[in-house]
Amino acid sequence: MKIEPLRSYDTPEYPTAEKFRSTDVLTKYIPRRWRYNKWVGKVLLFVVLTGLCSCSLEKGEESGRHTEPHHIAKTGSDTETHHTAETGSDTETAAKRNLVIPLFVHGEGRGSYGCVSIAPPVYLSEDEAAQVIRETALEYGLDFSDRGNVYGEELPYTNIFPGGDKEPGTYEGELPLDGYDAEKQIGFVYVSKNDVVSWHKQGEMMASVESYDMQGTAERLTRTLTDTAVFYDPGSDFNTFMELQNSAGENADWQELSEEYEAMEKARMLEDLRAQVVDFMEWLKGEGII
Amino acid sequence: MHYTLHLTNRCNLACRYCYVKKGQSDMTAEMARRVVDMAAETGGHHGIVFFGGEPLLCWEQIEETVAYAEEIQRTGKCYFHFKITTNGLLLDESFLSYACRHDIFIALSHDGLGNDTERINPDGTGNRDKLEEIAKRLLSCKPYAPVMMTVTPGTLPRYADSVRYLYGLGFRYIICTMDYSAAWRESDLVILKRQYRKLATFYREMTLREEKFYLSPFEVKISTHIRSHNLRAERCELGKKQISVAPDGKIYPCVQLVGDPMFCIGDIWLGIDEEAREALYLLNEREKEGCERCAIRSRCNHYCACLNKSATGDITKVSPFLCAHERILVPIADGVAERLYRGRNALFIQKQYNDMFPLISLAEDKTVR
Repeated sequence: MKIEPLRSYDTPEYPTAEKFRSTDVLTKYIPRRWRYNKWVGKVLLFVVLTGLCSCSLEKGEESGRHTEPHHIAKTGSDTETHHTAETGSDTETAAKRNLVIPLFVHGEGRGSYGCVSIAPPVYLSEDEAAQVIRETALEYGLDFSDRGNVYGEELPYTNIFPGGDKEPGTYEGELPLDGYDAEKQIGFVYVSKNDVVSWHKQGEMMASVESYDMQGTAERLTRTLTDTAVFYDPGSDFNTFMELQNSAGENADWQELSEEYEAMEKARMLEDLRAQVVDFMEWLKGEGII
Repeated sequence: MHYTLHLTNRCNLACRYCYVKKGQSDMTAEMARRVVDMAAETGGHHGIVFFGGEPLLCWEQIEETVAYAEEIQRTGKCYFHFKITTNGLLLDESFLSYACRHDIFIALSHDGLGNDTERINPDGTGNRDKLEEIAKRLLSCKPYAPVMMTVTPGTLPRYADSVRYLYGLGFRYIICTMDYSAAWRESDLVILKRQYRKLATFYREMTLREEKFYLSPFEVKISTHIRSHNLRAERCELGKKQISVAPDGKIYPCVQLVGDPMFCIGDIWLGIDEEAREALYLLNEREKEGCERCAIRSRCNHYCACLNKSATGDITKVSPFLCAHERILVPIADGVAERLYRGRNALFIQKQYNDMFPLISLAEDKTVR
């Protein structure tokens, strides 16, 4: 090992204190945990009134339009709008909730392909899932009919082949939201089996057997996204198929058995998905957002 | 100014990386009082830090010194705050209740999952199980007590897991330092990078969850960019902001230099030898060889005399491992800060840009408690 001076180093893309003070204002950014704390409120008021920090309300008004968005939301008319408030500082606070939304677990969220599979594959498509999620959310007053994107986050790569890393790293990129409520500024992503396959990190290893961890992938996504709920394909239960097969006996028609299994499992999976959404709505209620 | 009293050089542990020159000397009560007087003579606000060896081996001495300082404080001439850094093994209910009554800040040293590899009892056995109980006891009285973890080549592979473990125990202020004096290898650097990446993810998660959380490697490096106009305020400046007093009354500019006659800058009876202190300060201020053209030298720990001394034996000579460490840590810390800033994370912005954050944080504790 030896001393190796760095010849150059890019200026980090976050401001120095001086730069921040000249272009932005602290009172725009109030952590959620502070909002209902009367002691913090008193200190903040004292700090602002005595000018002990760089908070200035006039400055806030001046600089309120410089905030870069976290999400870019596409409205129904396909025009891109910054969902952080360009309209004023009150709504801006709402835009910057930075909610870390937990994963609501209903269903194992796993599936496979190849010789390890002992039941026909059953998955919920993006459309089937989106319909249930939107309908359930609407019952609680959330309208996920807009679309949007999340960008610049640590999005998870997946691994679908046996023996590889369960968490094969992340990438910085753009993720389309599957639905977005522009008023509440909350979106959702549904992790389907196809998502798990398309986020697979290309490597040297290949196999004829694949496994899909929708729940695990969703869990990793929740760690990185804010203001975005992550739902996942609950996955089918092969035990149902085994039970059907046993009760049908040796002469059962494979095709019929598969169709019956698919219908039964789809109904259960849709219920599980709906339960994920209901849990999320109850969580939002608890947070005082709806 | 902080006055660190090395109450004793005795210790009830035998950590493999310890830099203290062990012996059987204790500071007398008279000597400790003299240090308090030295501080009081200058007026203002001072910190009295009880250090060792293991300072809790001298509990009576701590009580006497605190009582004496509090007596002076009552006259209004000078104000003190107290801190103790302990390995915790003697941290019982009675000391904790005493510390709460007298508002003594307690920092616990604990090496996380790697604790029993390096931070061992004199008979070679570990003490992590015992420390778990002690940590719970400490945190129930002082929920934001910091924990200080030393990372060695042996414990490096579990660096990130150790931080998570300490967090799981309930610690929210985690101070990590590398054992720069150890024999680090090139292969360790790959592991180090991986560990810091894991820690960056953890740091980001905690910030997004708005957890009250301080992880020193990231906070310090992010701060070196944010406060780049005033970096001097962040540095110890060798003997100008804190001094260490050895059990024999000799004064040194840093805890890690105690006992080395080369770095003695006075004693408690004759006071600080300003000439010696200034000479050391100026020696340390000189740009280090090899660092002159480095693009991140203003954000690097290469100016830290005690780190250089412990790693290379010379305060002016930078350790190649320190250089490698900084080259790994700075971009990772910047990466996580950039992401949090890009998302305009409110807690990150308040923590890093609001000078009053500690005060607000204190107000928050009032409610939490």
